[in-house]
Amino acid sequence: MGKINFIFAIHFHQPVGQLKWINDRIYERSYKLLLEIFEKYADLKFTVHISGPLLLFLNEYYPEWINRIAKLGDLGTIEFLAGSMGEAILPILPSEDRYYQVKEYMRYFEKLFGYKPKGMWLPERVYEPSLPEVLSKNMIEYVFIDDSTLQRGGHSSDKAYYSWLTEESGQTLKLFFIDTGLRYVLPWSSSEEVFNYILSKSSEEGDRVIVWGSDAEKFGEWKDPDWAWNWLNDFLLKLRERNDILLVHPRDYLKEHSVKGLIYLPSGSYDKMLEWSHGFFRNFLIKYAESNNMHKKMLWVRKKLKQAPEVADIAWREYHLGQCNDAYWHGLFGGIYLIHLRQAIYEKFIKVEKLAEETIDYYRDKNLVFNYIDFDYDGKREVLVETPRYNIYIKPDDGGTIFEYDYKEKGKEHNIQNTMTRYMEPYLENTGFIPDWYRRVSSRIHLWSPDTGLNDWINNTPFKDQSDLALRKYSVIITRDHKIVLRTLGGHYVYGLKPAKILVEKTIEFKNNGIITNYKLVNYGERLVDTLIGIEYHVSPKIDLINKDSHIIYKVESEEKNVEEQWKGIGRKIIVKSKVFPDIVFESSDRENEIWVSPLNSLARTEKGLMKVFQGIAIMFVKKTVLKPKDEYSVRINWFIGENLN
Amino acid sequence: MRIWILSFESKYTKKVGGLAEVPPSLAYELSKLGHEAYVIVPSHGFATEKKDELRLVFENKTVYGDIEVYIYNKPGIPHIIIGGGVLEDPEVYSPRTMYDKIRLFSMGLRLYVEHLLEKNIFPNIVHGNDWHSVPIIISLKSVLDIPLDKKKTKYIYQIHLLSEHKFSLEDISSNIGVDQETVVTGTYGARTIREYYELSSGYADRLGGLLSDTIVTVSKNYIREVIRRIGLDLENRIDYIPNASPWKLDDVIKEVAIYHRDNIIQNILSNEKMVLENKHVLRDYLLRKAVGNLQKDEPIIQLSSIREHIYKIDIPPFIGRGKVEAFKDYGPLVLMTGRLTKQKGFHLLYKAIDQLVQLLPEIKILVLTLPVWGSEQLINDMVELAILYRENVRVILGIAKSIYKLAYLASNALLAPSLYEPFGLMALEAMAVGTPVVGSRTGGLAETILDILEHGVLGTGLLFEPGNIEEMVNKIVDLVLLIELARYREWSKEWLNILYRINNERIIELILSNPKAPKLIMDSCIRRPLDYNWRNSALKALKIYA
Repeated sequence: MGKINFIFAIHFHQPVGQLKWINDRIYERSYKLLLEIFEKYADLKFTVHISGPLLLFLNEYYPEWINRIAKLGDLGTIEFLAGSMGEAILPILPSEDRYYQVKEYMRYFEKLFGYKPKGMWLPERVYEPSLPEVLSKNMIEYVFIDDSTLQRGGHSSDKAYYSWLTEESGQTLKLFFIDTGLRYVLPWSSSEEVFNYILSKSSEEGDRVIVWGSDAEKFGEWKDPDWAWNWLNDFLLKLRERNDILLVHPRDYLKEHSVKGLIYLPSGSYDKMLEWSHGFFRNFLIKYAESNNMHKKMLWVRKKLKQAPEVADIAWREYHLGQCNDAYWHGLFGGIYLIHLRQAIYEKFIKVEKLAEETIDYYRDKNLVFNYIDFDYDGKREVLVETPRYNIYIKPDDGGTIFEYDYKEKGKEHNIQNTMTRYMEPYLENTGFIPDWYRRVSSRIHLWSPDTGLNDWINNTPFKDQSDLALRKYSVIITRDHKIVLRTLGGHYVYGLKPAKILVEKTIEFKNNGIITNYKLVNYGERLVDTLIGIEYHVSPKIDLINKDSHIIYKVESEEKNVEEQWKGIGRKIIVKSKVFPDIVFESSDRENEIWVSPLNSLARTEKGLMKVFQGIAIMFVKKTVLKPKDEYSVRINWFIGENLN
Repeated sequence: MRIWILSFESKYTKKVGGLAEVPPSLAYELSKLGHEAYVIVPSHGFATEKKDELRLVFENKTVYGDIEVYIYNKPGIPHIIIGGGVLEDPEVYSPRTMYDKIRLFSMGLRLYVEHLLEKNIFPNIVHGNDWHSVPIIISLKSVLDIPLDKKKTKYIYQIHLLSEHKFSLEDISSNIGVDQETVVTGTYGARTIREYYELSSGYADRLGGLLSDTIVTVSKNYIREVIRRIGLDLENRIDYIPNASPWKLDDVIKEVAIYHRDNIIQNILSNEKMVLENKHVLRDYLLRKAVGNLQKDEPIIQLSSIREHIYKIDIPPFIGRGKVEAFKDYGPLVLMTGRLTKQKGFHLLYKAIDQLVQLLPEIKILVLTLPVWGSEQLINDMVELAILYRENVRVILGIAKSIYKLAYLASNALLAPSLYEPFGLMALEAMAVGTPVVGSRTGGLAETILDILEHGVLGTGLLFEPGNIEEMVNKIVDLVLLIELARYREWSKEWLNILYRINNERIIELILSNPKAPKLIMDSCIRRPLDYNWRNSALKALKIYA
């Protein structure tokens, strides 16, 4: 029977924006338990990574836990791994940020623990061949990547049981491979089965190493804590007795066995991640417009931040935390579909943006700055309207919609347009779910067939929108009095009838606390257009990240409704209320239009089946009308934050 | 010398594009130099319309219909007009009738030549223009080049615009009544028409080149393009005769004054100096008044199917019948003219508009364009452009003589974004009236436009890489602002405000070092066409004919 070295690497992470009460719960169920286990088996060797965001949280709320685990580091029970400060996917960051993410983590870790780790946990194990250079410059000696990356590089899977050396531009990095098979059995099978699996990779020489690297939350949070406690005790007690499986720290292994040789690897991550991302993490930026939006907001804010070198370190810290990976992608659970995670990312970037703008006197003597740039890097330009109090981002080629609306007041920073489109996910196939056919943002115009109902709208019943106005490209004109005029010439299509040309004009005026949009639709067709004109908004109320009872309601025509309720009726005004944010108000000038309100929910897979996940409130101003040739419909809609527009 | 210039259009009979200007202008100068020059064109309905002014000199019948040959002397340049049958169809370049017209034109002219040969009258020079003339040249060669060893006529084939066009062997033989085994002379000596056809693979411009003594194009720069396309074996037979602008500032002012009787405008149009100093007043008048007050029958759209479509458009700023509302306010003006084709770069304006409007929200763009066959998509794009950017853009599709020259006179700049441009007469025309040009660095434009960045105040415009929208937008903005400076007192607040909106540092420096630069550039523009006159072109033609 052979022998094998075993690295037991436990990764502790909670994302930026995680609700505090969830963090508290996980701490109670899992992190406390694991600490007790480490202390109980202090003679064994554990490898631990605590992500930057979690380290900040634990240090703030549970400093004693940090002290105790640090002591285990000093005693030699635990080897800590470094990380990136924001637990960011390094390859998707500007190269300077990649470097600083690691450097900042090392600095903060050293402040708490008194030394710098040698190895590093790669967030989501997303590896790209450019990484060795930036990590090596940060004095990182080794990282843990997924064994599937070996196969992608055309290597035999046996190589996973050694450490290898790679290089980029002459900068070296040692690699350990996390074993996929082991992740599937530990801790879900019995200790014996796990040992058998580990030993199946052993050799007579005893120079091999197998790595388990996965989430700490598997112990106590995913399944009940008692089960985790028992399983770990059984496993570690037996492991302590074995001499064929040697629990080691990565640095010990390298001292003893060094690396096997030189290797070059392609980009990679773990098997599931590769499946979700279609082989390449950056694909998430393509699949989810919302992910790309946050990512490009990051790049935009960065430009401002770079102009403000004197800005406090705190701005860069916030900026790096805004790069935390969880909100940028989605596999099976949560991720980008969690509104509070996205909210936190925007909150950070808006805070940093505001700080930078103040430092560089961005507005000088102006109240408004117009930028006409390709913000989202799709080859087409967007209009970014910035004021010291808010930002409005407009996408002319996507129906002339507003896709970001940042409120910049200190302490209240929030993108009220942080709503989420419902995309088709593999687990939603054959469930009757119809994905959104347009991005769920604001100021989009539909011409619904007269029989369309609220649920047709919110659940995407096909062919109800009889125009192409929703997705058309709009022209952009900035007037001398600083308004934006968006215009398009679309059509109203009814089977068997000649298409009717419809000219749409949206004129946006920028006031102190929000915007006025004047909509005008003119029928330039040669026939009647019998339709429900729908002017659609989506809004993201601010969630209380600290207290559990967020209590978000909306008030329409003096009725108060919970966000989970729908409402439909004649109305002019709707107010969205949250305890942690000023009122968000919509006002229509048309006394006779209807307002349709619905929660915008996505569907998440859970053990109990599909569950609704709140993504924002969908609001539509609806006008039932028959437009004769040359008839026009005009309406003004105010959208502001606080008590009034000015 | 008896010189026959074959063309598909003439400004004195039917004009669609720039080609209509060239043959009569060249012929006029050739006659002044003592030669007997004729312009030979299909009637396109002209003979039917103006029968009284024409003299019928020959009649015959062909399998494709009756032939009538007229002499038209009124314009001062004798025209030989081949009419009858399909040649009376008024649509000049309609794909529906194009081939039938070419056939009948070829056969009719040959019959007329046979008739003249009986009196021992024949042309010394046959000067064909563009691909339509190739079957006609072949048709003429089949009778004029007999016997081969006593060839009486020299053939010039001029390419104004390279064509993708390919003929079938029948198109240039049996369909025009010529046996494909007829032996003719050409670049490769005496060979049959079929053999020459095979050497050209049917490609019209190459065939025209192979069968001519000299191939001519319109600018030195364009020779390169022509060689690449018609074959390197014809390299030594290529030369160029530049076009020229017939426009003179004084004449243009007089013509504009006929249409616009407004007192203030009449006063400005009283002399050249007043015009050059008050271009902005003309501009304001054009934008806020004249554009919205076309003559009753304007715009004239010759293609009936397109006319019907355009006349129906009544979405502002269009008000039906192809007419438009005037602009509501003043702004610096960019003019774009020409046939509505991709080659002229109209699609680039469509793509650039949003950037242009962002950089210069007050800019006005006036498009005066002639819709042609196959331009339906571009018509829709241009219409949409005007509707969506009605604060900035007006598009007039068709001929609007009442404002055409006023627009040249009143604009800050002419935009000539052609993807390729053999000569680009519009640029020279703009310069002739003191309007600089933003043009693509291609063909004739790269010769006629002197870049201000290289030539300083001796420059006449700004050049950009063809198709480069970013560069085009910046150059438009810079040139428009540069000319707008002429409106204001030097160093005044308004003057400085405009100056510092210019992107290009070198232009700013030029103006700071010489605040009179805008005015001097306008003067340079007026001088530039003097280098391109028809007398010089005619002298060059004579050298080639010899």
